[in-house]
Formats: sequence, C-alpha cells, structure tokens
Amino acid sequence: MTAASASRTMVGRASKSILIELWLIVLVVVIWWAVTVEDASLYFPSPARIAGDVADDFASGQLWEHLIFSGTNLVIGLALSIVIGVTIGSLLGTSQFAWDVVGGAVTALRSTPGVVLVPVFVVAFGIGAGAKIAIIAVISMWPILLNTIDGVREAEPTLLDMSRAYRVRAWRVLWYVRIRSAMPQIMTGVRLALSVAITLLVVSEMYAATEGLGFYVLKSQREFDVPRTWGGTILLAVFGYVINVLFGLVEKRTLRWHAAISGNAV
Amino acid sequence: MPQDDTATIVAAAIGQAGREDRSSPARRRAKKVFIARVLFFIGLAGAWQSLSLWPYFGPNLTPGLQRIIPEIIRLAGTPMLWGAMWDTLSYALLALLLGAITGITLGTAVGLIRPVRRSSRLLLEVLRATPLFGLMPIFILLLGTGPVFKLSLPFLGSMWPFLVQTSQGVAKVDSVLIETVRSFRVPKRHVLLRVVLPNALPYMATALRLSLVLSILITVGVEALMKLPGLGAEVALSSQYAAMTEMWAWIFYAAVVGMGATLLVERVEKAMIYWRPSGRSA
Repeated sequence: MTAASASRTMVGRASKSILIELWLIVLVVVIWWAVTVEDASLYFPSPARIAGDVADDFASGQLWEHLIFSGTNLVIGLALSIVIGVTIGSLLGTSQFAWDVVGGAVTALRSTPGVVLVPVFVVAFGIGAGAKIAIIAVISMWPILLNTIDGVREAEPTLLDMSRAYRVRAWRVLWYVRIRSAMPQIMTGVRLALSVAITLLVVSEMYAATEGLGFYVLKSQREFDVPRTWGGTILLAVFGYVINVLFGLVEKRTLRWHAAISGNAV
Repeated sequence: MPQDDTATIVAAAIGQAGREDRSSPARRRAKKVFIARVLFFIGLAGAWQSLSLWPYFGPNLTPGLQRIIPEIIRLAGTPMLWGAMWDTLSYALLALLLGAITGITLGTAVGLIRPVRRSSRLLLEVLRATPLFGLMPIFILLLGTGPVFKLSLPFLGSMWPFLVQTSQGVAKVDSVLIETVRSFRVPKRHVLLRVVLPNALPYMATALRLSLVLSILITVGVEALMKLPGLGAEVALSSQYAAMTEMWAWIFYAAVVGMGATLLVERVEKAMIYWRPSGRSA
C-alpha cells in the first residue's frame, strides 16, 4: 500500500512538473487560437489555417524538397567545416611557431562578419547548393578552429611525455592524444559553429536562391501569403530546435568515454 | 589574441631560453617569426594576385590589390564610408543596449524565481533555437522595413546571450551569501542590486562579448538582405552592380568594424571582471 501511494505521489509529481513545463506554451497557442478564431486579422491567421496551408505544401512535396535542400546543405557544410577546422586547428595548436606566424591573420579573418561574404560566394559559386555549402564550410569553421587550438594546447603533459618516451609517431600522438583529449573543446566549437551555420544557411537562402526553407519563407512574405510566412517561420523554428536536440545527442555520445575516463580517474 | 602573445613571450622567455643565455635564443626566435610572418603575408598577397590574373575569377570577382587598395584609401576620404559606418554602428549599439536591458531583466526573473524558470524553459528553448533571420519575413510583415524593423533582429540576437547568461549567473550565486545578507534584514532591492547582480557580472561580461559581435553581424546582415543603408547594403549593392573593387573595399571596412568590436570586447571584459581573480570560470 505504501508502495502504491508512493508511486501515486510520484505520478502526481511527474504530471505536475510536466504541467509546469508545458502550461505557458499551451497558453500561447490557446490564446492565439482564441484571438484568431474568426480569422479576421490579416497578419495573424488562425493556427488551423497555418497548419492547413503547411500540410498542403507538404502533401504536394514542395516543402519536403525545401527541407531536404536546407538540411543536406547544412550537414555537408558543417561536416566540411569540422574537417577543415580540426585539421588546421590541431596543426596551429601543436606548433606555437605556426600560430605566431598566422595568428594575426586568423584573428582578422574570423572577425569579418560572415554575412557580408554571402554576395562574394554567390558571385563565385552561383545560387545553387555549392555556394551554400561553401559559405557554411568556410565561415562556420572559425569557432571549431579556435576551440581546437585551445583544446589541443591543453593536452595532458604527462600523456605527451609518455608518448615521447615510447617514441610514438607524431601523427599518432596528434590523433590519439591531442585531438582525443581536445574533444570537449572541439564539440563546444561545433556547437557554436552549428548556430553560425544555421544563420548563414537562412541568410544565403534569402539573399539569392530558388530553394530551401529560408527561400520558402521569404517568397511567401513577398507574395503576401501570410499563413505560409507564419507556417514557414514555425517550421524553421522546429528545424532549428530538432537540429539542436540531435546535436545534443551526438555530443553526449561522443563525449561519453571522456566523462567516463575523467570520472574513473578522479 | 593578446593573451596568446603574452603566453608566447613567456614561453619563449622561460621555456626555450630559461637555461642558457636568456635573451639571444628568444630574440633569434622572434626574428624567425617575424621573417616567416612577412613571407606568409607576401604569399597571401601573391595568391590573391594570381587569382586576379586567372580569367575565371579575376575580372568577375577578385580584382588585383593594385585596384582594391586605392579604392580602400579613396573611400576613407568620402562621407559615404563614415555615413555607412554610423548607420550600422548606431543601430547595432542601440539594439545591444535594449537587448542587454531586456535580457538582464528577464534573465534575473528566470534565474531567481524557480516557477518562472520551469514554466518558461521549453518556450525559451524553442524560441532560442529559431534561426534569427528566419524571423525576418514575419517582422517585415508586422513592422514594415523602418527603423523599428532594423532594430528588431539585432535586438533579439543580443538579448538571448544576456538572458541565458544572466539566468545562469543569478542562479549560481551562493545561496549562503544571500541567506546571510537576508538575515541582516537587508531590503530585497539591495540584495538584488548589491549582491545578486554584481555576482552575476562575469556572466554578463560573457554575454556582452558574444552580443556586441553578434549585434553588428546581424545588423550588417539585415542591411545586406533588405538593402537598408549601412555597410551591409554597400557590399550587397556593389556586388549586384558587379562593382567588385568597391565590394572588396566595403568588405574590408566591415572586417575592420568586426575586428574593432572583437578587440574592444576583450579589453572591456578584462576591465569589468578585474576584481574577480577567477574571472569567468567562477
């Protein structure tokens, strides 16, 4: 009986905490719904109308195409920026001399507002997927590069000495010791890079494009299609949120061994 | 990165030069670095020049430095440059100020009051994950393309770091400290202003560091997309008119503004939290 009542209070507590977490977002939607039920406002269409129009575009397949276009460019661009950023970053982090030589140029380049380079990439690579991937790869590389430098520098000196004593080859030390132990910083860099990449994705799809979620939203607004503008914006919000959640999962998985190791060590 | 420079000097002074003659190896190394740096920049310039000679890129995208550098100098003498910089910076800074005030206020509420934090968590997380420029079309619908619109995106962009950082900083203020102060019956307002907020200051410094650069970046982006006066529009318009020399000169000045902001922020951050030895890691 005590077990039953305990579980009942636990269920009660859980449902209460779900309520606390959810009521605000539910309230926003309900108020929206209540205010727009007449569908009188031009600028605030009812949720039903927005959902209906978005569902139509999903059914016709065009929204899937935009979604896949954006998602693919984001993933490829980010993957390239990770490869480039970690490679250059680990070299610059390992060699103090190299950093002394190019550090100034790196600081100058990484503080250039990335969005002003969108026109350059459009002229160079056109308005297709290539330009989008290129700009994401180049601009969102900076936080990964800088964090890799920091991480690689802070590799455990004991491990490095040990590797030297055993005459482990330089590239193996770089890969197995320095980059591995820099993983937490690298992941922090990738998280920053992700938000830069999403920004650039949307901007480049709005600047000159014929595809992508950003294009879909801007096109709807230019055609004064208010429900689709709202729908596309909400879709972008969900897109951003889902990508962040997915990244959180990847991050946890990548760093699991790290947490385990440092947990055992302490 | 100035701290890296000092680290280099220290490393050069202790690490390499510690045991033997103190100055000469360090000086020899500095000389080597200097020579390599000069070579590196010559290499960069050479790469650019050969790109400008390449028929695919040169005429359409990358004019030679002999044309870009005079254009950069010419622009510096025109009121156009200073006007564009003012247009960009005034909006970016005003948006930053408003964003900071709003973000710190909301962040304090979220961080201090537990029910507020729990109720707003999901909504804030979804809103924060929304790509900022994705909101632009909706804002155009609701606000038009006037000054309020131009402020809106950089405002939101610089509000988030302040909100998140302040709420974390405020939540981490030592509860014993607060209880102690309370037990002396210090008025709540003073607890907030004298104890809680100053202790969250390092977090706000981090937010400022992120926001200033973000605010400028977003302002420039909005200008470029909507052709609103400012550095962004100058870049976008010269690219549209295929005036590549002008475009690179404007990009140069956008980079100068971005770099100025980055360096300034590093200075300010150090000055703001000088009294706290552990700095940001607190």
